[in-house]
This record gives sequence, C-alpha cells and structure tokens, in this order.
Amino acid sequence: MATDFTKLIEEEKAEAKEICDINGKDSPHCAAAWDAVEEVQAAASHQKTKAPAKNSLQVYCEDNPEAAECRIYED
Amino acid sequence: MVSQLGRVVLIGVGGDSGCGKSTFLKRLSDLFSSDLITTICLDDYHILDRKQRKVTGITALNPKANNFDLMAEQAAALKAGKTISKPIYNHETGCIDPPETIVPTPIVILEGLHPFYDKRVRDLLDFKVYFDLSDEIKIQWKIQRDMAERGHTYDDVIRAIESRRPDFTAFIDPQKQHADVVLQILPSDLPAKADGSKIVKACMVQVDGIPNYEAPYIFDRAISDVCWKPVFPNSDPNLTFCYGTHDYFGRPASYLSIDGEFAPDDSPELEQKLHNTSENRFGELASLILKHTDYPGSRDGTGFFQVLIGLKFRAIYEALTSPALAGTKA
Repeated sequence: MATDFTKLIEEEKAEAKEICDINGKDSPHCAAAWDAVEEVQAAASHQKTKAPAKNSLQVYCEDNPEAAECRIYED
Repeated sequence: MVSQLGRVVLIGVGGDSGCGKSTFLKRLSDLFSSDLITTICLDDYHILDRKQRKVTGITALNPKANNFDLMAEQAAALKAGKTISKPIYNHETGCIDPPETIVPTPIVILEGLHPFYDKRVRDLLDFKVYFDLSDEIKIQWKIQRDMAERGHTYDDVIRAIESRRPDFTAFIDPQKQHADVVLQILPSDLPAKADGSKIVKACMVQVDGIPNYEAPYIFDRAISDVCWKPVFPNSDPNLTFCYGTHDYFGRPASYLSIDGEFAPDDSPELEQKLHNTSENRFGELASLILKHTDYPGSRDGTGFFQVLIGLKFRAIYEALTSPALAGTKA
C-alpha cells in the first residue's frame, strides 16, 4: 500500500549517478536527476512526519469507535 | 457558503525543500483551527512531470517547469473566494494527477519553491515569508534527514546540493528580496558543540513598512544593535539575543537574532524581553513552543522565530478580516 521510499530513493539515486557519469556533473540533466532524488527524499521525510505509525489501539479504535476502550465523551 | 467569505487572506511561504517550511506550517496550524487553513503546494503547478524533467534536463527549480499563468489565475480566484479545480503533482509517482476541487477557507497558504517569482502572484499575497538556509546548515540538516536512509552517504548529500545549486541561485534565492519577513538560518558565531555539529544562529529580518505589521524588538526600538546575553542554568552559556536595523536589498529593515541553544523552558524569559509580539495574552509565544518541543528547532531561534512569525501573521489576518466582521454585526 504505502510507497517503498527506500527503494524509490535508491532507484532515483542510481539513475542520477548514471546520468551524471554520461552527461557530466555540470550538465542540466545531472541537475534534473539529482533534483528528482531531492524530491523523493523530501516526500519520504514529509510522509514520516505526517503519519507516525499507529499503535494497535489506535488502529482498533479507528475501526471500532463505539468499543468501551475507545469511547471519548467531550462534555 | 463561499459567499460568506468576506476576505480570503493569502500568505506565501517560500524556500527550498528541507528548509523548515513544513514545520512552520505545522506551527501555523497550532495557532489557527485547521478549518481556517487551506494549504496549496505550488509543486502542483509543475508542467513537466519527473520523467519529462529528467529527459529535458530542466529541474523543478526552473521556471520553465512551472505553469505561472495557471498559478496566477487560480491564486486570484482563491483570493476572491472562488472554488478552483487545481492539478495535483504526485510526489511519490512523479506524475501529474487529475485535478481536485479546492474550496477556499479564510486563510490560503501558497507554499513552495516559487511563491514570489511571478509578479502577478506576488502582488496578491498579503504576507510573504521566506526561509533562507545557509549552505553549512543546509548540509547538516540534509545529512540528518537523508543519512538515516540506508546507503545514503555524505558525498551523495554534497553532490545533490552542488548539482541543484546553479538553478537554486538563479531562480529561488533571488525571491528573498521580495519577502516581508526572511528567516535566515546561519552557522553560529559561537564555538562548535562537542559532537562537532553546528549550532544555529537564527536571524529574523523584517522589512519596514509591511501593512498591519509592527516589528518586534527587544529593550527599546530606538536603540539599535543591542544584544542581550541571558544566563540560564540549562542553556548555552553564550546564548545571545540581538536586535538591530540594517538594509535588506536596499530596503530599510530590522532584525532579531538568537545565537545558541536554550532549554525550551527558558523561552518565557526570552519572550519577556520582546515587544510587539502580537500575543493575545502574555506567555502565548512560549506556550506555543512548549506545546511542541518535539518539532525541530524548538531549542534554538528557528522555532522561536517560526512561532513569532506565526503570531505576526495572525495580527495581519485579524486586521484584514475584522472590518468585515464588524460589518456583519452591524
């Protein structure tokens, strides 16, 4: 379900290194390829901060908000 | 529902990725109810997807990769309280997804690489914040962020920064001269920490004459270039808090700077010396820092000034929207 960012970053990085070796490290293509790496890394770090892993109680209560251990009355 | 919106307040938040934009946005949502805020990521206006950029050799930093006509048109529509159909740039796949409907809320945030690049968009913004990260700290933060990923080395971090630098210097960095407030993150003038990591000096530059903005200062506005070295038992013994005036790209400006680290518990003491914080009640700034000591920058000027900028934006928001409220009451 969730994107495997570790794998995605590895792929983008390998591609960037290859493009830079072919076109030279000052080429615009090299810059664009590293920019893609940066973008994927930023997405990975945003996902990490946005959605910290839920514990089993949080998962259970999302599915069963009416269960005794999940009820919260805001009164 | 849309017709009830008296005035949409637009704020632009600029800076490179990994400069603290998203932490600032989280701090803003601690200040405002999330029902009030709509955040637009300007990456959604990419014309070229990731594959096309790699093939053509055009980075996302390059204006050619972005559709400023659509950005300007939709920013204007949002400000007028109109619903838009905005494209979505998918950061995972690198593709441009089918558009989504955005109904504006009283506050709309445009955040990304180019919020002040196009004059049409720039002129629509009610408040412009730019995060200016120095190279030394950029390297350190990226190492902290990216080296946790397996196999990512120091050399990769440097290479990535070096490759993107020409476009960053040409297209992103110059935007800071259009900002109202710039948060500079600089390497400290103080001695390095024992583990070799760099201490941060945060400097909040505020241009004179921003509408509805009264510049915060310490001690006395008339006394420029003044520094205070507080002595707190749990903070950096060299902690230095300064205020002064200078020119920022030919515009008169004032700045506040905090060099060194402090225990979040000491933030009330720092706050006490500040004037014009736009707090609703005394202690609000410190309580907002203490509410989330888990956010990066809570121990130095980065977080302190992010909260202060948030409070200043709230004052602008209230100034712009209160006449409308008074009108509906009458």
